[in-house]
Amino acid sequence: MVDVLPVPRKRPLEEEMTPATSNDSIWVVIPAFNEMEVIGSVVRDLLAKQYSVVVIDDCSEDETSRIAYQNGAHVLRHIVNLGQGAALQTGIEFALSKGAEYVVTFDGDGQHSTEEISRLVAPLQKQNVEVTLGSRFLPGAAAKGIPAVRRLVLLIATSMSRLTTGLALTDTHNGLRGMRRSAAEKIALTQNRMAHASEFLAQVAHHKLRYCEVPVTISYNEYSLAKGQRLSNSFNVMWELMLGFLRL
Amino acid sequence: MTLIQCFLILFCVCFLALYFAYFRSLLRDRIAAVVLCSSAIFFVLFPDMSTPIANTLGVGRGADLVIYLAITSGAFVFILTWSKLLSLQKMQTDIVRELAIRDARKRD
Repeated sequence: MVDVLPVPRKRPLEEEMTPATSNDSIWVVIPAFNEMEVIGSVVRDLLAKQYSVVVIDDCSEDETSRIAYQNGAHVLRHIVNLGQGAALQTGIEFALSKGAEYVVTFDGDGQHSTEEISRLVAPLQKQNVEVTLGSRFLPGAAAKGIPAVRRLVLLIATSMSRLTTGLALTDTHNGLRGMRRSAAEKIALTQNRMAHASEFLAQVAHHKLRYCEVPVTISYNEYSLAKGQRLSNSFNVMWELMLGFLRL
Repeated sequence: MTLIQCFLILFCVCFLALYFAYFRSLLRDRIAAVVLCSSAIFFVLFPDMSTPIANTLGVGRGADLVIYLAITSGAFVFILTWSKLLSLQKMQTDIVRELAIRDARKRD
């Protein structure tokens, strides 16, 4: 007599977690504004790893669109400058319309490494996680060249976000994030400008999305620091968020 | 009637005319605009009448009552305008996004 072991039925969640066979179902969304100096190499590096790449040119005054296009990315252009939050939402919607299974947000100023994408996507594929959030401050992570003042401001912002969203995070304003399709469909950023980072976390909390942080390395260089947020803009972000909460 | 009274009444009438000419608002809002302008004209013509009303409402002087009402009305108009601005901004975002996605391009 042969014992026939019952074949374990896959639960829907496990079926959902089946890894993708290639990287083209992973869509990398890059908001870009006047990034012609670096956007070409960013796109090339990503395409070399066979990711699907969409660059959202937020009405740049330079050749960002042309360079991204010539290097093989999907290029979308906002006809007026709306802000990084709006560009991300446009890119996420476009990626979903193209059948993306995983969506990763990525900065266009060259401070993110393409190596980080597989780290962000792995928990989405293999674990019971719908959203992954890059963190510069976890063990194993690094924020190379980050100015001390910026580090301090980020720590304050993180504490505030922990209070307002209830999410236990170590870094809340990191542009590296990953989402499963199911999560990306629920995210709807309405904060067009920089307050989208906090709004994203608020929506993760609101929709009770399963999340985890992933240690990532961010390399600050002269170019990215010059392009990055001015500290004085932190007050604008807080103001936008406050207004956003009032609207909810 | 003094010169300033003429000027203020003219201002109220012009405001109402512009409101009716340019804003396709709800009947409720139109009634509110008429009531507001009528009250303003009434107090311009009979400034002393504001004091008994203020006293009834527990405010000392009529001028104080007018100031309080002006501040409250100003804040209300500000919020309404701001809300309209946000709704226009959302509309603009939706249009820009729709166009961007429609005109997406990729080199073959």
